Amino acid sequence: MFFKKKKQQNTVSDADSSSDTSPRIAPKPVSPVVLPIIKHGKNRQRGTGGMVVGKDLSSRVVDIVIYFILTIALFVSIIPLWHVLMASVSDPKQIAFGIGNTYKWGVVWWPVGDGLHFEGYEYIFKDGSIFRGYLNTIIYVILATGIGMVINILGGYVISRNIKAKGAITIFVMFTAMFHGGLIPTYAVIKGLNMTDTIWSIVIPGCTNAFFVIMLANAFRTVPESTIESARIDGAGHMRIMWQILLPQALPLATVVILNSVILQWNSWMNASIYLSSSVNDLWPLQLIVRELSAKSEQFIGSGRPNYALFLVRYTVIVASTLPILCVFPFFQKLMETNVVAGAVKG
Amino acid sequence: MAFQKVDATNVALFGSNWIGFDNFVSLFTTSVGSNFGNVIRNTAVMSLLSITVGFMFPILLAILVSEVKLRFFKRTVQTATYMPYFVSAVVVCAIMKELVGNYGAITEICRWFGYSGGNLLAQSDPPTFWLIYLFIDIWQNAGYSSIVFVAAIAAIDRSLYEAAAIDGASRIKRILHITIPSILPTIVMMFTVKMGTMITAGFDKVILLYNTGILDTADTIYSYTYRLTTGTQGAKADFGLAAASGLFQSLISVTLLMGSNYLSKAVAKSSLF
Repeated sequence: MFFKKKKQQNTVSDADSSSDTSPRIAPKPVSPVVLPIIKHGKNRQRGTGGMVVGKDLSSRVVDIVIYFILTIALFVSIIPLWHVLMASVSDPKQIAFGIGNTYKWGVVWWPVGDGLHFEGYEYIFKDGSIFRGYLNTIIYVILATGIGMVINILGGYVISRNIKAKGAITIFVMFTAMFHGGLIPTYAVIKGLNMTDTIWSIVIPGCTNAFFVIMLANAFRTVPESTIESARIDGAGHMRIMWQILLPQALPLATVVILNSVILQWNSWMNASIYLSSSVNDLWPLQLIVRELSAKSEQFIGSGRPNYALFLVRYTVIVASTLPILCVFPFFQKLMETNVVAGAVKG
Repeated sequence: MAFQKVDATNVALFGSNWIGFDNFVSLFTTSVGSNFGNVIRNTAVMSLLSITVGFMFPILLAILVSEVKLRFFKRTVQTATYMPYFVSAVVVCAIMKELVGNYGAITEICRWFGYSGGNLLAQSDPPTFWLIYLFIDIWQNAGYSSIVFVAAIAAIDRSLYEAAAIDGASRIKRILHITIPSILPTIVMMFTVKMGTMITAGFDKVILLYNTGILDTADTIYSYTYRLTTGTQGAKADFGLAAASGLFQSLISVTLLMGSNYLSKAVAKSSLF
């Protein structure tokens, strides 16, 4: 099959070149030459999956280069994480001072020292703040996403309907996306509402943003008007239309919004570092605790008697805060891919 | 508040005296660990690096990944390159501090090329911090941003490639003349989106990375505002000044967003709003 194809190609190009060399310059005879290629229906059907043409030498070279570059990209992505994981169970003294061949090309490839060292993990588990951080972050994620989604759906519904004030409301929402008051005025507002040092200072400002509302409005807009009309004729009110007619149909984009909201909350540390003072560090989200612990770890030498377990904390805290997420993420990868694309397509 | 002299003990919207443009004047005349001219330069350089060099990597990655036929290898590469996206900014910066530290891998690689020093984050000469920031940007986002482009490439009609192959176009030629023109609308769209958010996006990583020794090359408008707000990293808390620099940033960001929207209207015939 494959051979035949190649032959055909040759004959075609031969015919092509012969027609070129022939004295006729008129363009007309070219079309009969092109047609036979398309006419070979069998080959075209076979070729829907991949290239019809076989691999010649230059194509092989290109393949090798591509595989080589991608392998490097693969390793560059993974090695930093691997390094941290290995260093977290190594002998802290060797890591701290680079004794012997601890580092090969600057990376700890295998745990160094005799046996595995778990003092770093012991330290953070005894400290316990990381568990509190996890709990707090989960609470924030659930509350912020929950409250946010209610606002997004209500706001999105209003913007997506043809109402009188639609233009004004849209501008009102979009303005917040374009123009931020800045840290200080926002802080003044939060403080004025007496929300500093409470969980609401994290949940309320971070629960939604203009893009989420607009995204849901776009999703609602894709639902045909006739669906809504027939629901209204059947006696459905705004609430019923919003939650039982529109939302199920807008579910794919709604999950995009939920996913983005969860990731935003999970990563956020800045709001917490401004609104939650250290007097309420039992309200701190995970990221802030990670930051605090690794800063502490950088001063491990202390008063002449280095606490090596504390040195390892800089690695163990990374592993403890990241490993659970990385274990879960392959399950979301597929969802993520479809969602990102859906989100981009809406433009 | 940017036009007020704000009393730090009494933060309220109208609780302070109006002082006109004094805050903006002192923004440009006084130096708080780093002077504002440097801050603007750093912000511009880092944004431009991430929007040019940083923007090319996901496209390149997507093109290369799409050329791979082995499904297993393709999935592995994709999974591995997305992974850093799920690592939070705080952790990414903690890892980076390791990599550019005294024994770190990046420091080591620099040593192969004749670098003879310790921690790269202690180097205050211009390009060092900018390149570290660029590296983080690419490491964390390239895989994730490539998803859109991979999807765009997958949507290209296969028969185009076949026709080109039959006409004798090489692999490289097919990439240059079919793949890239086909995904150009997606590229333009993502570029305008990125341009609109470039002044604010990702600069919290600067706050997590820098230290008082390298403020001259590392400080950005975002981190400058943060330092003035919290009174950390060599700055004394000054709410009026911080509000002024925050407003300054907002103005730039609005301009960019409007500009990018205009651009996408003109070029891609679609706009964000």
